[in-house]
Amino acid sequence: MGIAAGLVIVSLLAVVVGNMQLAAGQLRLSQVQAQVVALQSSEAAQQVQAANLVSPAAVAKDVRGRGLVQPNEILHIPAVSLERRLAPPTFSYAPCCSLTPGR
Amino acid sequence: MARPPISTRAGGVLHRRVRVIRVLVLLGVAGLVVQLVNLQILRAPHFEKLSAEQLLSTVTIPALRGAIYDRNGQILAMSVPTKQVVADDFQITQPAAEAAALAPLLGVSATALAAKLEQRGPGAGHVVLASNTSVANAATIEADAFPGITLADSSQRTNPDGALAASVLGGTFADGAGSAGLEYADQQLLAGQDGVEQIGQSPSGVSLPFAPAVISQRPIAGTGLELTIDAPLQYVTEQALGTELVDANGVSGTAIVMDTRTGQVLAMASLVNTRQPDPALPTSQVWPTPTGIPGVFEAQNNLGVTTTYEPGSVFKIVPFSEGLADGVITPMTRFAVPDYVTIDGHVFHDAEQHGLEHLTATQILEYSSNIGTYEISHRLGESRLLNGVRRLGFGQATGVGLPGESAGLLMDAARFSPTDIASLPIGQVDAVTPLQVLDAYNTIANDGVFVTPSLVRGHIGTDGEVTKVPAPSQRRALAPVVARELVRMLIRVVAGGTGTQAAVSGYTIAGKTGTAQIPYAGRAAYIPGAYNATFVGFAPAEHPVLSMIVVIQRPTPVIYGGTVAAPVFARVMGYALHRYGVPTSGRVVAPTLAGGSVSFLQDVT
Repeated sequence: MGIAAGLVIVSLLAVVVGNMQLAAGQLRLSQVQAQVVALQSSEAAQQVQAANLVSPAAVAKDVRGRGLVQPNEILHIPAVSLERRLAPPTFSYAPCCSLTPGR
Repeated sequence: MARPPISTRAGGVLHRRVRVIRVLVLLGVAGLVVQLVNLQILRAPHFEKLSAEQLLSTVTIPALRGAIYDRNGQILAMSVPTKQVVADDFQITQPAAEAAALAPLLGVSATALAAKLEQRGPGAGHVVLASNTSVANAATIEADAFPGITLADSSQRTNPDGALAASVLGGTFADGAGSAGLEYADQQLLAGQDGVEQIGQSPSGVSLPFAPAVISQRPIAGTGLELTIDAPLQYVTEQALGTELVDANGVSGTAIVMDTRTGQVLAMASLVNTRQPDPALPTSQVWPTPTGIPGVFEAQNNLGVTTTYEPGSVFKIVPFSEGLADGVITPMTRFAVPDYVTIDGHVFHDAEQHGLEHLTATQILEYSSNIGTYEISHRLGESRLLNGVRRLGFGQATGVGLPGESAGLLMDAARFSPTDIASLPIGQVDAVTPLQVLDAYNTIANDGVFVTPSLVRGHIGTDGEVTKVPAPSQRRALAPVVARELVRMLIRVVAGGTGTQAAVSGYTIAGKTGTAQIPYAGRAAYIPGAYNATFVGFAPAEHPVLSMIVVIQRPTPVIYGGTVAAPVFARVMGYALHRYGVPTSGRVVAPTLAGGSVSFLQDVT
């Protein structure tokens, strides 16, 4: 009789402990889920911030702030075929100082 | 006979009564057991349902809307998860104190907040304090456990580039659904699937604090879109168009850049000048975000596909392509061109007065002669002319995937009048969209193959995986030899004709100008002094990779497509060719197709 009562009490205690563990787990899970949502939101906000910084309008504004201006005309260098042989360069040696050995 | 003692009689009666009571009690208990079984077992589901209806409320968890990116992965539109902060007023006992604590977290003044929290009576009870509070601030509110304050999932749509490509992207309503542009057209993809959760609430509908929420269906985030748009090119296009719109005093303008081979739209701008000189002129609705150019805003309707206009001289490729295809003309076919003709009592004339000129077909296109074009159309006849219009894609929606796209308005054989043989080929009868005109010229650039334009090139799943959208359909519209002849003729337009201001240093450009009168709405007459200026072309003409159209509505006082629209083409095309590393054409020499000179250089139809 005593053993049976003991078993019942131990079983009840085990159920209580199990429930506590489950509740704690649920709490942790909901906290982690909240953290995930917060991090996702933060990531999205940072992505938007980054996109703001690299947007063409922001880049153009920054460039103008640094004093750069658009050229009136872009002069494209005409394409030259790779098979076309270029004339050998003509050059003369530049006049130079007399070198003193060892110095 | 002796009577039983009184006590014995009383005992018998008592026993009977006890028995009766026992039976009654037993019957009562049995009744209770039956009712218990009835309530707890037989009708349990019904009562559970009733209980749940009273205590639980089904709430939709909004799915996070898919983002929209440009072709380089730059974010054009994105939804950031936020929280909606709601107050159940009658649970709030200290509105002033709660307002003071919440104000810095919600970014609202404490006074305004207190006024909302103090609402009582009918209509009050469920007051939205803030629709888009950051999740971090919402976590603080949740941790502080303000009585009567609850949080709900929400999201905020953001465009990091501001107004950039707004007429392509469109916008969203307050509930997050797409209202215009691609946001509307691809609503089903972008929206995802909302989730469902059960939350505890009182019978009067007030959320119970600390009641557990049970999510029965998790939301599925929307699919993202990878567009064909190139954000830097879009910016340059908008800036060039907007600047010209201001300089030319135009009412509105549109510019579209397309990849010749694939039909992918690289830039698509629709702008409105709100400071145009005549405030009485009709204007489009605009998005409120500024473009950076004073007075210039993005149009709410995409002008490139939703508005039709009489295109003017850019339509002349119809009789030319049909004439070349049917062998009615060659580039060298000569015509005697007076400066006017009279048809059925109506006088048609060239833009400028001139004597009788002997022009080749190439020169007619080069100098955009209306009378010369009429003579070619006259040789073609009505039937072939109408076929040529359809062949180049006019009269049908391009299928670019934007809402509200117009198919245009075309003249049919049944209503064809004698004067239409002169007015239709010079773009004064049919109404078309700028994108249709660009498509037609792109067909010429693409060796005669018509490519359906596209704006979306990939779908981005929730796992970040990109699924390429199938390539758009293609069809042969012109024989390659006809397309190549037309290219050679169109090169002359930019090299020495009406489109010289479209030239880009180092590259051979082919294109056509158009300056078209604007008709009154519902009246068969033109508005004096009102024109649409157009330039459409492609580059490099030897191996075209980019096609572009520029249309400026009602420029003043300078009205010509070659003067107003062509410079925008040159600026944008120069940038685009440089950006994509397109090799230069070497020394640009226009093909010598025709000799002689002409005395007129503008194109008004």
